[in-house]
Parts: sequence; C-alpha cells; structure tokens
Amino acid sequence: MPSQIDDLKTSLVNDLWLPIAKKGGDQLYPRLKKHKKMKLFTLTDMNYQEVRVFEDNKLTRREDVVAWNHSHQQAYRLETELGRSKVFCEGRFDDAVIDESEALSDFFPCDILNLDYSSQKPTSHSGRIEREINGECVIVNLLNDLQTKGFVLLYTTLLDQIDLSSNNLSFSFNSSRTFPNPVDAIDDKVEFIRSALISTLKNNYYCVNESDELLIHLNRTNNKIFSIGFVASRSH
Amino acid sequence: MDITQTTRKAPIIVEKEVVKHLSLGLYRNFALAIKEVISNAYDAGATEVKLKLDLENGRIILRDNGNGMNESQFKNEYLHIGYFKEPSKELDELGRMRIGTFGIGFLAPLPYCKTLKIITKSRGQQNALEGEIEAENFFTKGNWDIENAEVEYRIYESDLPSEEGETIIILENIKGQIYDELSRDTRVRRTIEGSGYEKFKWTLAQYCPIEFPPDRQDLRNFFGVKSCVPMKLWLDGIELYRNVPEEAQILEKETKEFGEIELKYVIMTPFAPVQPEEMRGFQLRLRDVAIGFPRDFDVTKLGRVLGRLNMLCGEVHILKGLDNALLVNRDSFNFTEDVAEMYDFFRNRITYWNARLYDWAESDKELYLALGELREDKRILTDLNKADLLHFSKERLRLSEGTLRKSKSKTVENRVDRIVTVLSKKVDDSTKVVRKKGRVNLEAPAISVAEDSKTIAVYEEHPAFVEIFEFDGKNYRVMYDEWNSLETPFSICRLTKDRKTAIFNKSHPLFKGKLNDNIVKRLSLGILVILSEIRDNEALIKDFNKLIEDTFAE
Repeated sequence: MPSQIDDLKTSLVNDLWLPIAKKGGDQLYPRLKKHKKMKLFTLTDMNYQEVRVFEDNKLTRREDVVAWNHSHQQAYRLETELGRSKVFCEGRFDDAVIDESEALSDFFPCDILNLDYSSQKPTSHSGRIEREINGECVIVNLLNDLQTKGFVLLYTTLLDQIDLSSNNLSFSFNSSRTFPNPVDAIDDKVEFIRSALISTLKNNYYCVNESDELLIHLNRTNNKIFSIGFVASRSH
Repeated sequence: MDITQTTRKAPIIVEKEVVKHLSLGLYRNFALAIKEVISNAYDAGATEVKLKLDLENGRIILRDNGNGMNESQFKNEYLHIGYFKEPSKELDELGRMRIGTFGIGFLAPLPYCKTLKIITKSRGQQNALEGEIEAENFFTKGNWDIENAEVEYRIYESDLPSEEGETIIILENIKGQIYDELSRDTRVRRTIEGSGYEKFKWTLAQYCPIEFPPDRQDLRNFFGVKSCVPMKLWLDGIELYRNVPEEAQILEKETKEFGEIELKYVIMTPFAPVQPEEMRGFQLRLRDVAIGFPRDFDVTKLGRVLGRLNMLCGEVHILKGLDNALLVNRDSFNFTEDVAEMYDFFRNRITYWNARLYDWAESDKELYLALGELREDKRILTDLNKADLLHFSKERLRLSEGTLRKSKSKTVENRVDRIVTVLSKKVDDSTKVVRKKGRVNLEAPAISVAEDSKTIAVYEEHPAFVEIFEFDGKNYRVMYDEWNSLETPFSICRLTKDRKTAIFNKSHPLFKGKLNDNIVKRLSLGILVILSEIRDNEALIKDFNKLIEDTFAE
C-alpha cells in the first residue's frame, strides 16, 4: 500500500467512515444508547485505524470484528494485533468473494461493511475497480439473501490512470446518466462508481438513507483515493 | 591385543534421543515453552511481542519486532541444536543483558504442535525468509534422523520497510492436550482462578522479561534499569504485566552481595494469604527472566513452622554472579557456597517477617478492640494504615461482632485512655500520641494522624469517646477512677456534686471477674440514684424493678 494512503487513512476514518457509521448505528439500533455492538467486516491493513476508532466510539467491540487482508504476512500481524477478532487471509477479497462466495457466508450478516480496497495493495490491472464493485455486489446479494434489514456500506478505492467500463460489471447497471465507454475522466469515474454501488443496493431492495463521500488527491501522483459511504435499509 | 601406549582419539557421540529427552524434559509446561520463544525475542532486541491464541483453528501465533534473522543466522544458529550463545557481559544498545541460550530454545515449542512455521526478516534487509518445520517428526517418529533432517524455506521480498525487523512464529495443529488445557474453564479454589487460559496468561506474566504493572512504580523504580528499553508483551490484544499480588505492600527492599553474587530483593505481603497460591514465596530472576517457580528457600524443610509464610511473597533479581551456575533446565542454580549463603539469608528474612506478621496481627487486634465502634470509621482506619499502625483488616483477624461486643462488655476504662495506651505501644520514638482537649468538630474523625505521621491526635471530647448512661430520663456521663472500696460506702460508684457524672471504681473486684461490666455499672448507678432520692416504698419497689428490667433487657 502506498505510504500516502497510510497518511490519509486518519482523514478517511474521522471525516467519512466514522460519521456514516454513527448515523448507521443510530438508525439500525436506535434503542442501544451506550454501545451499538455492531458487527464489522473490514478490509484492513496493519494500522486497523477504523477498528480502533469504531471501538473507541462504542460502535463495535473487538470480538465483533472480522478483518480481511490479502497478504498472509499482514494477516498474521493483524491476528496478533487484533486479539479477539477474526482475521482471514484467503487471497484478494474480490477474487475470493467472486469465485467462492459461499465460503464467505459465515462472516455475514454484518452491520458495517468496510470494503477498503485501497488497503489491499491495489493492482494496476485493467478492470480492477469493476471487479471490486462486482465483489461488493456479491456481498450485498448475500446480505439480501440473509434478510439483513440494514447496514453501513463503506467503499474505498484507488483511482489511478486505468479507465473503467460498464462492460466489466457483472450486474445490470441502471443509471440516469449515460457514461462514455471507457470512462476516463476523474469526475466520470466517481459518478460511475457511485451509480454502480447504488444500483447494487437498489437491485437488492435496499434504499439509501444517508450517503457521503471523499475524494483525496495523493501527493506526487495523479492518483486519488475515492471513498463513499452509505446507510442502507430495506425498502420494503 | 595391541596394548602399546599410543595416544588415540574417540569421538563423543550425542544420540538424538538425548536431544529428545532434553527438550521434552526441559519444557514440560507449554507456557514455559512459549516463554523460551519470547526470551529469544528479548535477546533479539524486540520491544514488542504479540501473541494470539487461535484455538478455534488450533494454532498460536507469536510476532516480535526484534532484529529477525537473515538466511545465514537461520541456517547456522536457529536450526543449530545446541548452538550456545553466551550470556552477554555488557548491556546491548537497548540497555539489556542478553539472556543467552543453550541452543535448544528452538526445540521448546515443537512437542506441542505438528508444524512450526517461521517468517523472519532481518533488520536492514529487504527479504523475508519463510520456513516450515515438521515438528511432529521430532517427537512421534522414533526413527527420525535429526542429523539428516531438512527444513524447507523460501525467500521473498518483505512488505516491511528495510529498517524494520520481524519474526513471526506460528504453531499449527497444536496438540489436543494443549487445546483441552487452554479451553478448560473450571474454577479451582485458591489456585489461579478461572481457567487454563488464565493459568497460561499468569505463567507468561510471571516468567517473561516484562515490566511491573504501571500502578507499581515502586517496583519499577527499584528493579528497573533506567537505560533499559523494556519489552512489552500482548496476549490476544491485551498487554501483560508482571504478576504482583493485589494490595501487596513492600516490607523490605535491599541490594545485597553474597560472595560473587549481587542481587536486589523485595519482600512483600498483602496482609492476607497471597493469591494465587502459586505466587507464594520468592521469585528468583536472572536477567529479568524467572528461574523456576517462586520458592521459600526450603525454610520449612528445616523444621521451622511458619504460620504466616503464606502471606509472604517477593522478588529476588540476580544482578551478577550466577550466569554460569544456571542449570540447563533453567529452574535453579548449582548449589555453590555463595548460593548456600544467599539461601540462608532469605530463610532468616522469611523467619523474621513471619514473626513480625504475628506481632502485628496481635497488636492490630488489640487496637481494633480499643477502637470499639470507631473501627467502622474508614477515615481513621485509612489514616492508621498509612501511618503503619494498622496492617490487617478486622475480617482477616477474625474479629467478629460477637468478639467485639464481648470485649466491650468488659470495659471499665476510659476509651481514650485505652486507645492512647495501645497506640503508644505501637508507635516508634519519633511519633507522639497526644490527647486533644476542648470542643471538637463533630464531623471530623475522633482520631487523626498528621500528614507526616509524626503526631496522632485523639480528641477526648469527641462524642465517640463520651460514655453516657441514661437512667430514669436523665443522662449521666460515665467516668472512671480508682479508690479503696473498703473505705467508703460508695464502693462501686459515686455521683459528682452536680449529679451529672457517675464515677466508677475500676479497681472494684466486681469489675475483675466474669460479670458483664455494663450490668454491674447500670445496677450500681441505678441503686445510687434511686436511694439518693426521697421516695415512698411503692415507688422504691417500682424503680428497683424497672432498674432490673432495663439492665437485663440490655
């Protein structure tokens, strides 16, 4: 993971993920005042800042955290750092979830789904972001199958020079806007991702109650980190 | 037969079974085997060691941020059974004295798992090395050939910065008995409470070179080496500190020398039996690592009966002089002359403190009885405790309400006198016990200890000390004096001229016997009051009956 992303994680956690997670906690568990005790599934790295911040803000407990990391070295480190949490390392999450979604069903349902792909050493392969979104779609399908009433979805990715294409998405993509193919401008990429994620939610009968996003420029590169958060609940 | 006197050479042969016996014998306790791995991390300059027990998946992961190993060290030192690393004679860059090994630390965890995986990255290098050892072969396949055994490993680029070092050890497929032990959750009285997991945690905290808890700055300051960077240890995300019994107070701390041996020691007691039982006795440490279990230096084997031994615990840190006397099992030392002298010294200290605890218990009991109801005033107890005048709780001394009541029934002494007498016996020459006269703040405690603990004030006029007898609607203040009971008709009790104070003759034989003093006082005062007033016979009888009824009703 580029070191600049490390530096930006604090901003992501405090400015976007925490406020959205708090809103989600209030909406999903309005009666729990002192501790929301939400189950967190997170793609994370050695710093696991979000786990600590969510813990400090009484949104989750260490034993309710399931962490995923693509690298077995990092996973071992996370195991010893997180203690009572569960840590998984079955390769890259998007690969695992698309290829063997059934094997992952044990980790769900969850209340906060933090798909921080920027923490998983993003590759520069074409179609990476679409694959990440396809992975997210599999999990949202699973949450729907499990009759999950609502959840917080946090999605974070590295926007580099690679173009996006709706052809690479595995689901029907309904958007009020027509995108160029391929999608190459940064604003279009952001809009594309936002629309695609909302589509996956709508396709699974979830409506978006709250949403917010951040776009952070990485120093010395043209790359950006894009992060978006939703509070989703069943629409019927 | 050729018996010519020529010099010959014969090889010393080490059978692999010896290695097996050594390792199995050395590390009978799983937690102690893990301690060996942690000690290696300490020697490797680790400042953090994190441990995860993943029983669900039958594995244990240890990670440290020490120097790690390069390929050469892995091959030539780590996998070299019997590779001796001498204990260091000087402090390293972290201010530590290296513990040193007999080169079999690597074997320690092998009996407990089927596979040991190691990932290590040497500080200053970019590559990591990952190897896997089929531990099962060592201990289950009798004919396994150690000499020709091979360990597969691979080298790849690490994701850590070059300047960082790391070693991750994963024990996979841990043996069933370890799983069962760590999962056991039965509460055993007076031993390490809770579970096998708690025992494992306790053992690590007892034996590893880690710090005393943050709330024991006294111990940290006394034993700590200022220049030493401590090692921190986490188990399942929770930081462990060295075990110290709750409420343990330091009785004695010193630096001593016995011949070549130099050591620092602390003797402590919680003024109650040390819990858990495993902590009773004195923990010897060499280079901050525990040597064997806490011991009593065989004091009881010498025929001494020490009833308070279970209340004593302590730490003995060997600073120098025993490095070469450590036995290979790391449980004890060779019994040299210096070691014998050290043992003898501690046996004497234990005997001394055992006697002191007995004395303190007796004098504390006496003070509690003198305090009467004031024993419930926590402000007074805290003050007396701080001033080192009260050590044990009344519950610990088995002072039940019945005992206290019985004691009160035999009181024909001004309570202030009694408290002052008891306190005066307890204090040393530098402390004064003073009686304060005059009006007092009713909210303030009846006894106070000055901040420097040099003056203890007892407020005579405090309501807690004023004894009142109520009779026929009137209150009589009670005081005590002594006079010859044969020289006056008022042999037991007399009233002052203003008839407000009753003075009892505490030297009267009735107060020396088994009778309840309060009954004697009430009857004698009652008779005196009744007869000193002019009454008709009927009223007199009525008053006597009432006196008897009231007295015995009480």
